[in-house]
Amino acid sequence: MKMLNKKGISLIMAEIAYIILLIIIFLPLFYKVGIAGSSDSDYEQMYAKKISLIIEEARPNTHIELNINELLNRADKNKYTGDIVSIDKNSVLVKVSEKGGYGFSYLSNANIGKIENRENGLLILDIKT
Amino acid sequence: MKIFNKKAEEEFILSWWDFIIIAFIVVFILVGVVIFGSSLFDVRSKSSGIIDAKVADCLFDNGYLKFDVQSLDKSQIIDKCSLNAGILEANQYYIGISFKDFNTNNEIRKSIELGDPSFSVYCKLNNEDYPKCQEKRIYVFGQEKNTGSVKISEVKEKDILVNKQGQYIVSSVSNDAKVVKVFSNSVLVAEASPETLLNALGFTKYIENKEMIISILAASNNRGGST
Repeated sequence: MKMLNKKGISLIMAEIAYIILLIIIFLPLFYKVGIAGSSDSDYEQMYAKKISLIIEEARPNTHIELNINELLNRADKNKYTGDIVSIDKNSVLVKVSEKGGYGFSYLSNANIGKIENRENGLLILDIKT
Repeated sequence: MKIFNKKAEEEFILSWWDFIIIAFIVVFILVGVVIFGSSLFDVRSKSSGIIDAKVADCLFDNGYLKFDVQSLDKSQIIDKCSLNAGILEANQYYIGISFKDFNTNNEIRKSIELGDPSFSVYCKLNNEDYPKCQEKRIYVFGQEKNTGSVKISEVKEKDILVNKQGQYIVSSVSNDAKVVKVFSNSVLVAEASPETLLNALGFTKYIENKEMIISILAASNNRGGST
């Protein structure tokens, strides 16, 4: 087996240093990309908008069941026991922790009945006239 | 910039170009994530599309305007379309309805505007920061003239004739205007000359239906917000 000379070793070290430098730069970047759109606040925003649009589009006397397991899991993780989805004054507020929450308003004037069924992970909405 | 020893420099050089390329890739990825993330959560366009469809749904029925085109006003739209006046006044939405004659393209009446009227200007400009808009153009028959005297010689297709028994839609008028077919609930009621129809069925009211194009422009700038 032929051993590497000093120049060869120096080159390998340089390559390793270069790779380490790339890892230092790209690892946090890829981590940031990986978690993008999956934080608590992102989920609050996503569900607030989703529920508002559902209400906006629904016709009177519509019964809607929406799976909110993801929100419930996040609320459990944050030890938050309050209302996850609140609907008041034409606005949907979604909270999965004591701090924060995301609100989104809708234009429809419908009366809305809301039940959070935590056992089944469902948000039940009754859209009335 | 050279950061390795002289021997390495000959084979391996981390130059400014390397840093520029790396920085370019990093910026490119970050910008991509930001643009993708913001477009993923931006529902303004979807929201204005829903409102557009909702207003159209409450104004029209089977190709007919449900209301008298001249007397239709803001309060009727808010009431019949079940919209919240307070949210409309909060300057996050806009609904504009314009009425044009199908044949002449002239305005039949003044447009009806609800919400922030400046949105109609922004809708013509393509900018991410401006409200997102959706427009529907619908061909309908609108009840424009509602008269007590029946001018049977002027009757056109799709007009409505009214007598004590109910409303009759004129299905067709012959080219020489000597034969008129009248339907009620898709059933042919009469096929005769206008004069005979007038005498036999005793029409007392004549509603001229106008072919019109109604444009509904809905815009939303509702982005919501963290509490």
